[in-house]
Amino acid sequence: MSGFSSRTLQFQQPWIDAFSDSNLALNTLPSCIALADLQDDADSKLIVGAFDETYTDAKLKIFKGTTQYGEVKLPGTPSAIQTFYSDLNKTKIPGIGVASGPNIYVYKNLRPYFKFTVPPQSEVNSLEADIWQQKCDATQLTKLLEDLKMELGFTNLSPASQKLLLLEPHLREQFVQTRGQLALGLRRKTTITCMTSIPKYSTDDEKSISCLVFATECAKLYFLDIQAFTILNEFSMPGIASHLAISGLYVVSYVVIFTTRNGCLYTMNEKKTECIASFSAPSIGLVLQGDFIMTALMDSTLHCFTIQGMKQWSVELPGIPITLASIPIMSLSLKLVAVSCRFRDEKTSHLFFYSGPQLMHSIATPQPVSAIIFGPYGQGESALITISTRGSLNIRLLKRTAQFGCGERAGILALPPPNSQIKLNVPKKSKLLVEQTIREREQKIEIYEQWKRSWLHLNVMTCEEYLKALQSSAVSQNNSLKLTAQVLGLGPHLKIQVFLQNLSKKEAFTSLTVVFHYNKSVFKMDSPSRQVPMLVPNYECCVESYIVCEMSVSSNVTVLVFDEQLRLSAFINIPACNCICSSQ
Amino acid sequence: MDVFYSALSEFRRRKFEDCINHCTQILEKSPYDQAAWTLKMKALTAQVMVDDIEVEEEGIADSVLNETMATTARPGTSFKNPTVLQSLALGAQRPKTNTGRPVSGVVRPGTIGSRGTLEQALRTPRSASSARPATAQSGRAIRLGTASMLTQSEGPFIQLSRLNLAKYASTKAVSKPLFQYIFYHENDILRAMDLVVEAMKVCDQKDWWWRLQHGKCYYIFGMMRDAETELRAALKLLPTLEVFLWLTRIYIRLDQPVTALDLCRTALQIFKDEVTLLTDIARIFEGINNIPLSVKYYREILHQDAMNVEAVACIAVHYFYSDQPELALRFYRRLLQMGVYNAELFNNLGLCCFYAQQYDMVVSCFERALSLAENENAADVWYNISHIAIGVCDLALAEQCIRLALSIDSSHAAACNNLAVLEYLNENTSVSFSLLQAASSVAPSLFELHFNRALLTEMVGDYHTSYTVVQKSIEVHPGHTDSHRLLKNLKTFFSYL
Repeated sequence: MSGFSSRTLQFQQPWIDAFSDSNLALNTLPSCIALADLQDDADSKLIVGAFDETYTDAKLKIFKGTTQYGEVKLPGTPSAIQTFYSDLNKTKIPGIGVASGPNIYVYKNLRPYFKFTVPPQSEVNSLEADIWQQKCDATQLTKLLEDLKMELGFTNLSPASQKLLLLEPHLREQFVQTRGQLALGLRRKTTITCMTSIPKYSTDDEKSISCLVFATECAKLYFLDIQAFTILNEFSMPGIASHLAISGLYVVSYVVIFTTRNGCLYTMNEKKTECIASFSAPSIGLVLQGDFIMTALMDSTLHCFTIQGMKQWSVELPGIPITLASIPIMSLSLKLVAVSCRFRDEKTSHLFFYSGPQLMHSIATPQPVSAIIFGPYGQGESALITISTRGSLNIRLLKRTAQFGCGERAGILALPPPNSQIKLNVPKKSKLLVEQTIREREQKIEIYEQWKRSWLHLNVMTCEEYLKALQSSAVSQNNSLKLTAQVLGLGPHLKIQVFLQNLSKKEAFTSLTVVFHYNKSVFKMDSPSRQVPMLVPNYECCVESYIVCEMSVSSNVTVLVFDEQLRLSAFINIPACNCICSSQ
Repeated sequence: MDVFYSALSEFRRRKFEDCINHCTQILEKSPYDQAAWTLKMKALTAQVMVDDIEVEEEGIADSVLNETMATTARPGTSFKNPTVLQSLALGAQRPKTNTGRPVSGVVRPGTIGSRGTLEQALRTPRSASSARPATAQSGRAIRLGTASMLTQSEGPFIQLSRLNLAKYASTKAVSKPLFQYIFYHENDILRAMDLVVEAMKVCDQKDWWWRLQHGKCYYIFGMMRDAETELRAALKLLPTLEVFLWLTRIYIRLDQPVTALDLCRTALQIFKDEVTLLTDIARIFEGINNIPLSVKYYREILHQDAMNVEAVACIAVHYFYSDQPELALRFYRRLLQMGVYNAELFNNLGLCCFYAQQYDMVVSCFERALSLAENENAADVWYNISHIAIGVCDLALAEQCIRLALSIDSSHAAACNNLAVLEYLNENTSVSFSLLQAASSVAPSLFELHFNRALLTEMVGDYHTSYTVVQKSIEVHPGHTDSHRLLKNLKTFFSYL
């Protein structure tokens, strides 16, 4: 007779490890990575705004296939990169917008194309402008600006004033002179914090013309027309945006979603700004999938809201999130969110894929992933590109037969059992115990009397001992001095450390002396008497002394602490040193 | 009476001094009398011979010089990394000594120091009670050296350097006593080794006894693997108990408790119910924190030898820390009946009486313990009395007791900790804080100190210190729920905007 043998389902890894290079040293930010078909040859390329460890020497690096294809030096450290189409030409060459400081540098065909500067905040305080125009010397100018600083606050001054106030006094004169010669005006520059793009006329074609949207450090939001490089709209924001996403069409209607640095999530359209949620921790990223907003917080939670502001769900993440990205898999009509997590033990890091609140899949990564992007790369439809915190690049391609959620859950989530299931290990009642309780019941009066009498006796004895200890100064009076001693070393040369601390609140000991009393035939000591500096309350003083054992027996050293009278004495047990005889 | 006959008789009656004198008389008359010479050697050896099978304290240097040990062993396969699960299953954790080992029922070599790296051993503050010797061998060697000098005023009995080892090795009656004399009395291991090599040539390496001695020599030189091969060979020639015990000792030194246990079990099949083997097994289990199994073997020992003090004490301690003080009390009473009469026993009896609610006996036990206690024990007795005082809510007395304990042993970390708690109750937070700080530098392996410090610092608002200190507490005791809760609170606080 034969039966069916059970077949185990083979675990299938949905990703193919296409390429990995750990020696690239790509330092980048989650917002400085993009995918675009740069030459309209249906070969998508990876654009990374990389910089070195000191955030200088920034470069725009283009990867094609497994090699670096091009490199452009950037004039400043990038804060965000966005690709866009700005014309109706037949060959669709996208522009790369790189936000850096107050500027957006636009590159086309890997050549500089345009530089746009965010209009400076014009409203420099009139008082400040007056002060600068008075042409007084540096010290006077500094003084006036200091007063103004108290009035307005340091952040509301112009960069020139800020710099002057921060300069060393002897450099100020020169700074004022050079500014006077150059006749520079006062302007307040700002910095772009985050940038994204919105299609202008239609959403059907991916390569249609779009608008750049960016937020600045001055809590302003701008819409930039990239055909004429003019500002279309300008909004005030309730806080400084840290992450930005946008949904809709510029000419019809749109919703801007952003998180601020103080942990709030807002939606905003032409008419109104609405606060959806204010979190207890800052957000580390924002992902928009259709009508759903997903954000991960620094307190290891992942939240989902609708664009209307309804909370959908929130889950606890297994580790500390670093960044998150949207993974839309069209072939499976699945929209995943990838969250890269670091663990507290620093040994492992994982990429977790969530579909809704459900954990679908996880990849263990040797180094924590700092930037994720998913999309078409090369000829491939869907590639997952990750850059680790230590600058290695990983490219994974999605298998065509990939399935998610067939039991391949992350195997690392071993949660402790809930408290209610822990069984207390209470031993059984023994026969002996029962017998004893019977005895207790029968002879309760005798037991109590005996206990009472003996306890009193013990009290008296303890007090006597304590008095004796007080008289011999083994215990300090009023518990004002504390002495601890340590013996360091393996012998025969040992170091004795005596820590003295004044615990009393009222008095300070001025002329304490520490004396070591020892058996001269066993030990040798250079300075058996030491002066202690004045002991103020709660300060610990360490007295060190060297001692040499001359016989291999364990013995005592008595430490005496006194000023006019003996304050404290203590024994230090010196361990037997067995190295002496063998060395002789 | 014949002088040699009386010498022999004295040797048998263990009057070694007289025996040696008689032998010297004979040797003065006839210097080449081999019988007298051998007898004198034997007597001299017997004077100083110690039972070297009993485990020795592992020295600091020895534990480090051994390179064969795995540095990160899996839990339960090494003394350095014992399982924590077992102790958790017991409910309450046994208190630890200042050096970090859970307390055992008896103090014996190996229970004082925790096994760790050299760095850990050096960092552990040394006092007479917690210091480990630098090497294991030197302790015994010194004692023997001085002993031989005292007995031999007119020069050594045998000039070892002039000895023709090959000649003596071939004489069977002399070679073994001579080896023991060189090994135990003169403590000249190198020359003893030479003699072994010569003797092995004579017997064509077929004598288990010489193989065992060869292994012992290697052991002293710290060449564990060579010693192991020698002893294994000896076992093949003739399985004897001594060889098994020595081999176990080597595996313990090599930090391979699992192999040592296997070996003991095979030995038990040959020597059924042998107490020494059972003791070894029980000790190894205790070393890797597997207390229930250790207790099981100690029980088996009691079946064979009802007077075994170590077994009784260890079982008693097990009962005491698993919340059955009334049973522990019975075992300690048995020890008292057996004639053990010291401070430790009365102290333990007092504690058991108190926790088993036999209040009429408590104080008298402690009083007797105090009268019997020597210096360092007295600190522990006072510390325990303070526990009783806390139990009956006499906090003033408790404080006095702790101060007395600290006056005797200023590095008593547990007492320091309790005093800190009492001071905190008296609202002397700063005193309490400095006490905890001092104690945690003395005994970093007590998690209570770290946890209390973390609580205090959290209370005064020093969250960062609290965070670092509570992590230390979790490192020492990973299962401590309160520490985890505190850490969690701190984390939520830090992540809160």
